[in-house]
Amino acid sequence: MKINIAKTCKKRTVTREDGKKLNNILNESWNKVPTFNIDFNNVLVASVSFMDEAFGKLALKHTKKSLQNKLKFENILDYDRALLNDILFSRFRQKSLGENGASLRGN
Amino acid sequence: METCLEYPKLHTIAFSNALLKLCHKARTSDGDTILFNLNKTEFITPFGITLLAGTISECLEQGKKAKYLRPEKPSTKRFLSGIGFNKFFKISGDEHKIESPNVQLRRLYQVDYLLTEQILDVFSASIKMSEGVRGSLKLALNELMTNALDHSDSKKGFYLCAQSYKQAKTIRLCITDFGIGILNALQKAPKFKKLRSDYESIVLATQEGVTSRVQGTAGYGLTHINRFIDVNEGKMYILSGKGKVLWDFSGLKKIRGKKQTMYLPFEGTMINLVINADGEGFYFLESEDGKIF
Repeated sequence: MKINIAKTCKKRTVTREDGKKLNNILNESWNKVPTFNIDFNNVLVASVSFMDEAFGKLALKHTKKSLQNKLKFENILDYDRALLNDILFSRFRQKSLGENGASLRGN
Repeated sequence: METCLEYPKLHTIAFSNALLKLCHKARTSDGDTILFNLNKTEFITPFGITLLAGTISECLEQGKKAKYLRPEKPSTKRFLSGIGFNKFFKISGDEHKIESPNVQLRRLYQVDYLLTEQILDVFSASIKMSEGVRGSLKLALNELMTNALDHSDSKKGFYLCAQSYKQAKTIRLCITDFGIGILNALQKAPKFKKLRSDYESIVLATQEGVTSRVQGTAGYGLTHINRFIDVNEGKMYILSGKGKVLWDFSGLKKIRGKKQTMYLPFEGTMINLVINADGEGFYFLESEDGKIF
C-alpha cells in the first residue's frame, strides 16, 4: 500500500491529531497489506508529536522486526529518519519497562 | 486615572523579575489607562517582546486603555517597528515596514502550518544554518506551538517572536502563553496531583514521557528540544509561576536546570531558546542495536 504524506496529510504534519490520522490508516490496514510504502517526498517534517503519534505508537503494539517488515520509508530526509529511529527507540524502551500507555501511566 | 510603567534599558530574560513586576502592575492596576513608557529601552529580545505584547493585550482585554511611548534610541524604535510591534497594536504615525531578517511578532490561536517554513526561509536568507539546526529549529517551533495550545488551557492563544543575530550567529526564539502554567497543567494528571513546586514541575516537563495528558502517552517534545540545545551548546530558559529554570550548555561547565525563584508569579509559560545557527543540530541517540530504519 502506497501512502504519500504530501497527499494524505497535506501540510498537516505537526500535531498529534495530524499524526493520528496516519496512524489510523496504518492500523486499519495492518493485517490487510504486506507492506506500507510511505513516501515523504523529501519534505522536512521535524515534528516529534506527529512522528510519535503516527509511527512511534506502533512500537507499543508491534515488534521491531514486524515494523521493519511492514513499513518502508521512501524519500525521507536524514533528519526525519534520525528522528523516527529516535522516537521508536524511546517507545521500545518504554515498552520494555512496562510503561505501555494509559493502563500503567495514566488513571 | 493613568498608571505609568517605566520600562528599563534592557528587556532580556536576565531582567525577568523587573519586567514581570511591570507586567503584574499593568494587569492588576485599578487605573483605566496604562502608559507603557519605553523611552529608555535600548535592547529588547523576543522574551521582552512577547511579554510586553501579551501584557498590553491583557490590559486591552480588561477594558483598559493602553498608551505607548516609543524608545528614544532610533535603532530600537526602528527595530520594534521592523518586527511589526507597532502594526500589532495599530499604533499610527510612522511607516511600519516589516523588515527582514526578523520574524514578525505573532499571536496565534492555532497551529500555523506555514509559519515554521516562513521563519526558516527568513533566517536562511540572513544567517548561515546547518541542516541539523534547520531541522531542530523547525522541530522546536512545531513542539512549542503545539505545547502552548495543548497545555495552556487558555483561549487567549500565545505569542511567538524569533530573531536572528548575524554577528553572534545566534537565533533567539520565545513562545509565551498566558494560560494556567506548567504546574497546574501537570497537576491534571493523577500522577502529579500532589506536585506543588513550580521549579519541580518545569524540570519534570523536560523529562521523557512526562505529560499532563491523562492517557500519559506523550511528553517527548521538550525532551527533544532540551537534547538539541545540549548538543548545540545553546541555552534554554523556562519560566512559569514562580519558577525560572535555566539550561546553559554554552560554557565548559554545562548548567542543567539552574533554579531561580521569581518575586512575583507569571501566570502562564514562557519558553526562551538561544540557538547557535552554525552549531550542531543532530542530537539523536544511536541505539546499541543500530538503526531500525
